[in-house]
Amino acid sequence: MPMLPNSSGDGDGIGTVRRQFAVGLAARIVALREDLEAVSRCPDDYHRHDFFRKAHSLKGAAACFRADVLLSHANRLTDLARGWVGGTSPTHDQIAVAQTELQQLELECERYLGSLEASP
Amino acid sequence: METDFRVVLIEDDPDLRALIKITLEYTSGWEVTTAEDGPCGLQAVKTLLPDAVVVDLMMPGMDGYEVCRRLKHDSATAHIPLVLLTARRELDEDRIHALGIAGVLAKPFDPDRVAAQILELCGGQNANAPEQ
Repeated sequence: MPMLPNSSGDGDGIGTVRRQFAVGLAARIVALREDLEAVSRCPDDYHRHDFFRKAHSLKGAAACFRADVLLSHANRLTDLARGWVGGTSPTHDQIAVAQTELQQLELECERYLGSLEASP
Repeated sequence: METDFRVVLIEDDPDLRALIKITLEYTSGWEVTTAEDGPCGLQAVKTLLPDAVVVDLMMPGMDGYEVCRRLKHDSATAHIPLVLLTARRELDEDRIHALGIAGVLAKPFDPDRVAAQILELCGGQNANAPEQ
């Protein structure tokens, strides 16, 4: 990943963008958790698609930021949710798997943010 | 690399929007205008008439396919090359072809190559370049 200047030309622009991504991960997790709860309560197509889209968005962002530690969990969430889009209602077991993945993803997000904050 | 190339980037994810914009601006000196959703992107394209449009496939509300369909059905924007941005591997090739999309850029992209890839997908053509 090249080091890119920020708009003022006095720093590491891509580093700033990466830190914004890392800081925003907590909000993504909250949104995913709320959507998963909504899917659990009311597994209509709107909620299922919303959860899938957010998981897929996180997967794409994690891949582009080379946040490999997040990618495997985001991948599994996306794969799970893809199966729910377009018809099949999630089972209780699948919801439980997704909740576990979200918990693990949250831990990895905290580690990822910590690693960026610890780096110079 | 053409430094006067102008792109409209339509991407709902704010982090990716910022990453792609800064990557294209820095690696190639392009002028990148961003839009956070399909309707805003359509307006930006109609106003700016850029050299290319890079549009995310999966967005809430109006998705990338619909954005491309509307741009290709508007005589003012139909000539502008469209590049679809997606992390999906299973794509509707027939639909992509029918919509006249120049190509698909896969996420994750290589920041050192993404500008060249966009130019390749657009056929190396500047949509606003005067005809020889």
